[in-house]
Amino acid sequence: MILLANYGYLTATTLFVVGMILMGNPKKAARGNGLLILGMILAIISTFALSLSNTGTIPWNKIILISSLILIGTYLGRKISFSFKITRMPELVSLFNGFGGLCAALISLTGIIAYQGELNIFTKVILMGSLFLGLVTFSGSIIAYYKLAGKLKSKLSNNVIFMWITLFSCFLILFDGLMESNTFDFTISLVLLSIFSLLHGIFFANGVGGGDMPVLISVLNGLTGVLTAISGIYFENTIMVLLGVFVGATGLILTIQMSKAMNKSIRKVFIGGNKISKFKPTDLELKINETSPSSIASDLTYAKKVAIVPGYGLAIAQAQKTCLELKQLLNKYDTDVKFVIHPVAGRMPGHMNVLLAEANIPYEDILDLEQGNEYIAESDVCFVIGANDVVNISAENEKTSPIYGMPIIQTYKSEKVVVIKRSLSNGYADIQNPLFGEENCRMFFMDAKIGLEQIVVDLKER
Amino acid sequence: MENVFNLSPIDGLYTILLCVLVGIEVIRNVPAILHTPLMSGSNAISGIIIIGGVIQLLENDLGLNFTTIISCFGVLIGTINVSGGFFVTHRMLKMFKSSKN
Repeated sequence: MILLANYGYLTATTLFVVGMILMGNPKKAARGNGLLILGMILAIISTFALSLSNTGTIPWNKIILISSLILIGTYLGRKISFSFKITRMPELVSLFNGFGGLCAALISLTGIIAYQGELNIFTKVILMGSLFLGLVTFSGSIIAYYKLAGKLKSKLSNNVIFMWITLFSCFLILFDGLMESNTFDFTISLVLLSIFSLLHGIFFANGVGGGDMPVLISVLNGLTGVLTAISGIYFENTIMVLLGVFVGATGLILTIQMSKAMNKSIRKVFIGGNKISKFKPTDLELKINETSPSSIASDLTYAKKVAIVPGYGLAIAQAQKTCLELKQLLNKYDTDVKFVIHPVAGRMPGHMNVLLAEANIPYEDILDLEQGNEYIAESDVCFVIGANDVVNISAENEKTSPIYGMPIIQTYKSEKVVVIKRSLSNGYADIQNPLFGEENCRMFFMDAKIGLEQIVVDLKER
Repeated sequence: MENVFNLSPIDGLYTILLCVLVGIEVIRNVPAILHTPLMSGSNAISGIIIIGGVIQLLENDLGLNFTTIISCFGVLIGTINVSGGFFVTHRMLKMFKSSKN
């Protein structure tokens, strides 16, 4: 039985690693996800086998209880995951991440209470540490969920101070708890630790601005991974350590990529979020060239290569399907159309890609920053729809700009740039965009969806 | 818990080191288009932590006490995380289509 369980774990580990490798290939990713599911089921069955081989008898009541819990949980998880629209994917990921954190916290709490007398100091540190991290992840993810849903907009002015106070208190309580030998005092420190951990999570997530959400989600995701790895050390379970490290690596790599793409240090995202407002945007006199749907359509009929740079504004206007229509129409004229996506477009890493995939836009036609810039340099027309900061040329040529150094999509290199935008207002970073005043840039002041529809209608009539 | 292969702490460190290296190498090669499914998928597999809860429920005596109740709740919440994460990933990956078909 023990042998069987161990080989079960080994097979599950292989399934997980191979599954994760397949997740890196758009063609095979669905199969990769299937392997991950198989691995998970096998790991749970092996855990049963391993635990039962130690006890000798088969405790049917426990098996029935755990199986029914897993079945109910699977049903609820399925129900929740299908009740969210694709645009709300970041909220859903945050919500599930919060559940993972809460689960870890509850497991370490059980570990502390059930074996209170026999814990050595090392195990105590591990368990109390993961209680702290689990609750921080839980409350942080729930705050992220509400922020993404737009239900929470309040910003505390002293948020950073509260964040440090609660963090410091958590450490004090943790050390105090390690010293306590009296059961009653220890219980009190556990309760206090839980409360302050929850509070810390709230302040930690609340300080992050709306545009920095991709970083916050990546960090919280990585935290659950670290938690799982720590629990794996406590349970002396290799598969938990392995998967924990995998998730931790995902979180870490995505966090670094996101903050690089925003040209903001991770420290700045969580602590110095407010400093940007001190920067006074220069008021340039921009010479704006307006254009009309018919003139855009006539440009498009002569174009051979067209690039579309979508931002989150495109998704808000629900204009993805119209983009596809425009693309199919242009493809009929043998015009090449590609979408160029900035890493921080959307509310979480890769969000914009999912939104375009939902509208049936094939993934071969979606380019990342590097390939995209090469493509744009050769393109005849480049559309900017619902994006602003990621095409702001002051990031390249104005040293005083707060986003100076941020890699941008170089739309200005295209023969002609068409910006579809409601007004001249600034983007999230509140910096004026000199692109709008460039000689090859034309502004089309209209809602993204209506504007695109007008262009499509005009093209069809030709 | 008794294992067939008794690992020394240094073996454990080797395991962790290799996990870190493999993890970073595998994740780094994932292209930007797949970052959201990668995230929800990894979110689901971090729910492997429920096997900790399963071990606790199997090893401790059942009864209407505090530890049993929070263990049960932990396993339930954890399973929601696992299944929800996998279902959502599946839903998203189904949408990724190639122009060839």
